[in-house]
Amino acid sequence: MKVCTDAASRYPSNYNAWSHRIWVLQNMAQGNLKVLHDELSSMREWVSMHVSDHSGFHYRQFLLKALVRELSQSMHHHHAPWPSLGSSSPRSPSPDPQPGHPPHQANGEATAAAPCPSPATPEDQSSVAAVPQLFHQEMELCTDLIQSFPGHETLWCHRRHIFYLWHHWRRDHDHHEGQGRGSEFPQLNHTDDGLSRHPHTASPRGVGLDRVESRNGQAQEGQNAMEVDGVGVPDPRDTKRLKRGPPDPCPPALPSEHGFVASVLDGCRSPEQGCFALAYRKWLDSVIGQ
Amino acid sequence: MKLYSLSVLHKGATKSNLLKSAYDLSSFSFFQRSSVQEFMTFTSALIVERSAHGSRASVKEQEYLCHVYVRNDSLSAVVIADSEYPQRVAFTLLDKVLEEFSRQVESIDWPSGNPDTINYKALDIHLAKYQNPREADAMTKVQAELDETKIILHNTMESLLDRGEKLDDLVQKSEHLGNQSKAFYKTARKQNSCCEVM
Repeated sequence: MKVCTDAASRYPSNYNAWSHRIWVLQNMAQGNLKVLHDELSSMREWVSMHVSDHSGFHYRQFLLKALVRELSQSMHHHHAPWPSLGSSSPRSPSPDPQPGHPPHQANGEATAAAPCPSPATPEDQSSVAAVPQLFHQEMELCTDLIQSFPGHETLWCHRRHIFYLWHHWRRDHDHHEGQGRGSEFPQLNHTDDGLSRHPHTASPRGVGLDRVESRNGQAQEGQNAMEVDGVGVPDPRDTKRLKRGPPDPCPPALPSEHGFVASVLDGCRSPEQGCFALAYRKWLDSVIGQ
Repeated sequence: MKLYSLSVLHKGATKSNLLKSAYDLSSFSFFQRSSVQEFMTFTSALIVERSAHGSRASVKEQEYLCHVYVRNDSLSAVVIADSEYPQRVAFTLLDKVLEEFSRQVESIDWPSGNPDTINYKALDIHLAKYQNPREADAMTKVQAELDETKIILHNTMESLLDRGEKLDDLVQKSEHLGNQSKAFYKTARKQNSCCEVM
């Protein structure tokens, strides 16, 4: 791994160095969540200092995909009629599993997987929470770099990749959980709606993200609102509810992305940055916003 | 993103005078380093000579970006960076260095001084610190003083030269370059692999 880092530092966009690094992970640390997480955090500094190195960001995309795959598998195993198949819990990352998790969640998951009456385990909850958090953190990193280092196309490409992954994961996941009940992500629905009120706010910067806790808060608030994943008209009651609290860290969403583009264009002094922002918006509209 | 060299010079009537310089050549192979350093000095001096008083410019050459600030009092600074290094931070660094230098070194010493006689020690520290632009500089999004639209951008070194002037000639005549460097330049030019060094 050290060799990979050295090689990557010497030659910009060193495809071979990064491919080798991926090979090492795939062959020596397959499915190892800890390694994936460690790599993700240790590479933060590196990509921040090599903002036009596409291979470095491509590596992060690989890590995210691998993590999402592992976490999604461990989630879905717990819904299988034969729970013994799915004991991947030892590998789940543990943000400390919430002990008194609101019954709302357990019921939701149990009924979603009809044949299996066993309640959701704490590991489920951490897997469920972990994926949106991963995406949120990656988008935060991307936002931070785009704002600090204007005019690097690599960063915008990376943003496309992450948003695309997130968008599709969410669609697949919600679909998998049973015809758009959306009950597992009440917060997503609310914050989407809330954000669509403020088309020009930039993505809020997460300070002390604690997603599971804030999700609990929202879950209790939104218990009666078992809405379908939010393409619909925002419920005015929801937006009023949101007004009171501090801004929640929220997962990436189409309205917040548009807000981000607007804020970049607003303060923009670099012509390239402006072009990239516009291109990104165009991509959002044509690829995602259907 | 990297900074390779940081130099303070005095822009004289006909040529520029190197007062102090600092280099980070760790990314170059050992045997290249002395040549690289000479070329960076050569380039810095040339850029200052060809830049007007009271101007800021960024000169692109291969994968390097040379940022220069020539003050109205002829005190000048050049930082050679890669293309990732944010321009705004580079100019902040130049401002800072010149301000500090002018406080510590008497202006009477500028026209005739050289790195051995000039007593200014902070250049290496500044170079090292600014390797990480976000740590070094608050990266304030609104920069009140620096008007980025006034920074001249040159896409090649050639655009700095007078009509008819050739870089090859300037290299040959330069007192900043040793014979080995000059020979190296000649060979590289011939092979058309324009010096990876500069």
